[in-house]
Amino acid sequence: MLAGIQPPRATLRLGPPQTVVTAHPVLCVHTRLTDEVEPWKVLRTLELVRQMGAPTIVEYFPWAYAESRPGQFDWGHADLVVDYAANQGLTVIARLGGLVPDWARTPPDGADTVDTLLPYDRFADYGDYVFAFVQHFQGRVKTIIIWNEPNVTLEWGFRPVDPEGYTTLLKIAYARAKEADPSVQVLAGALAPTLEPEGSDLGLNDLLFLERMYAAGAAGYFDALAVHAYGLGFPPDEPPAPDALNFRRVELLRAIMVAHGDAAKGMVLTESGWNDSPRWTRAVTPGARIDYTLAGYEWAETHWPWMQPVCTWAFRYPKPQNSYGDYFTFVSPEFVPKPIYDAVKQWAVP
Amino acid sequence: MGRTLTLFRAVSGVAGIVALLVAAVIAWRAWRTPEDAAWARIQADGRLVVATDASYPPFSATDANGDLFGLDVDLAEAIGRRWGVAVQFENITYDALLGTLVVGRDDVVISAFVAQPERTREVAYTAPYFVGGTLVVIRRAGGQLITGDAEAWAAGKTLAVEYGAGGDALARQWARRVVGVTVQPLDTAAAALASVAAGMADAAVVDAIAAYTFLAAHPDLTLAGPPIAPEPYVMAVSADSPVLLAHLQDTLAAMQADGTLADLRAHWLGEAAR
Repeated sequence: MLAGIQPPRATLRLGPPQTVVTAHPVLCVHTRLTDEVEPWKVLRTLELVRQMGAPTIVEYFPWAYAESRPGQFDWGHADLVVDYAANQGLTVIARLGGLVPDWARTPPDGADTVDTLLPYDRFADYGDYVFAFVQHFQGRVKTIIIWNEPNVTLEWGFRPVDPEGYTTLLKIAYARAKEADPSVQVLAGALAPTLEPEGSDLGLNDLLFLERMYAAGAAGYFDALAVHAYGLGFPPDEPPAPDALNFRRVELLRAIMVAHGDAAKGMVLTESGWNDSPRWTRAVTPGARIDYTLAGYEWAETHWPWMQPVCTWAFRYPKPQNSYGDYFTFVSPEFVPKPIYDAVKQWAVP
Repeated sequence: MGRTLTLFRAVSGVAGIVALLVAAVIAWRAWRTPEDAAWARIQADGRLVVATDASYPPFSATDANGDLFGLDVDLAEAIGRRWGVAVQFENITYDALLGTLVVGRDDVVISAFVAQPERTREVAYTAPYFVGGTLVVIRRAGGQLITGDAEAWAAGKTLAVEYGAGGDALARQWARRVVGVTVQPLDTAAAALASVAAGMADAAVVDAIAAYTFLAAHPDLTLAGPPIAPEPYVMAVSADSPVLLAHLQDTLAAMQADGTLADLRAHWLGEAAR
């Protein structure tokens, strides 16, 4: 009898489908609902995104969460996020990179590996995941990103970065994605802005990495290029330069695309923004952060017709990071909107 | 002959038993002492490799010459002196810090790091050497200490904050829940603290580091209580480094006992942080 006594399962009834009201469709935020367990918090996050006037989100769908055992997929949490986003009228761009399942990265000797390590002989398994994801979410998720920041060592399993190796992965993933849904838009790269030179054990300059991707034949295997660009301590109109990291660095990547005949392809800024930590050396004041963020969106609207949308990192974390990373967010883990949220909402919502 | 043989057998038997006992003790000690590749490497190389994100003064940053400085840097070097090993720093982005331990690239993370409980399968943490968070600062003369619930304490007060910062969000939350809370947003934490010093606000709700450094030059102000939402800074090692962890814990305890840690905090953040 006691075994049959259980508390009622938490239920969450979605309201009627919503529409994002915005004067600035370029607006996009990178949500981090990956580790948000409670459905009401997922919904509340997406409600706040919609109410702020952002029609698009980038969300991370870790491979290990979906395929903890080879060939066995669990889409429960991913379905929840995608369905709730649809209910709120939001378009989802899905990042499919990192968090490699244990079974795909544990070497025979059982040595520890980081979860961004994708062994070269497991590229086909990643392709299988991409196929399964695109097939499962056909019609619901129309844009995917292949991996994340492959030009930094941390994101390449702490191995030397490998543009040619990433391009091989891209080719496999692109083919499998199109096999599942020819209409899905495949974004390459999500390159990290960095000035690391050839031979650095931290990564490789994003401009050099992209050149080598093209040299390895990447052009036919992506529909648009995902890029990251943070403003750091500079205003959004700070001119780009090969030896500078700022918001407009993406224009240099654009130039490379055009030089390789890809002017017809678009770009998506999948991570960007400013930070207002009181101590991070690359932060600005909270007031400047608000000004620069709004000006950044306006710069993109005015000068970047090939960039759509501009996604700011990061809307909210499920729990505090206890580092300067917390100062990228718009809303606290307790759902307290920060002044930047109010400012962007006032700007975006007519 | 027979007695000699009996004696020989007896002695052999005893020797055999002793040999077995010695072997058992050796095996037991080997089992008791866990393998720790990081600790073995530190001993062999005479070097402690520290991962730090040097973009976060006063804990870890680089000067105009590219040299590291800060509380974390001094802490690492103090540990190295006590152990008789050199200290080598790897300046790496925050997101990569724990990964350097997992892959065995570095030995310890010392980087204003707050423990991430969800990572304890891969890493282990020391006791804290500093506690940050949000602090409330009041005037010594006439200021009201927080003796119970901070939210209730805020009733009827004007709270100076740095616009858009965590203290601002917290104060706004109080203002929504408690009668009579007025939030006074200012451009910087220092401006918020100055407002209190000038009598224009009852208290400042600001980041702990900003509070400590301001208090160092303003003896007319004081802390209203302990940190709100404390953030303890710890060192991290691989979960496979229990011996290294134990040595770090012992060294931290010794530094706490002999005042070294307090001196470091006071040096970099002022006496209020001691």
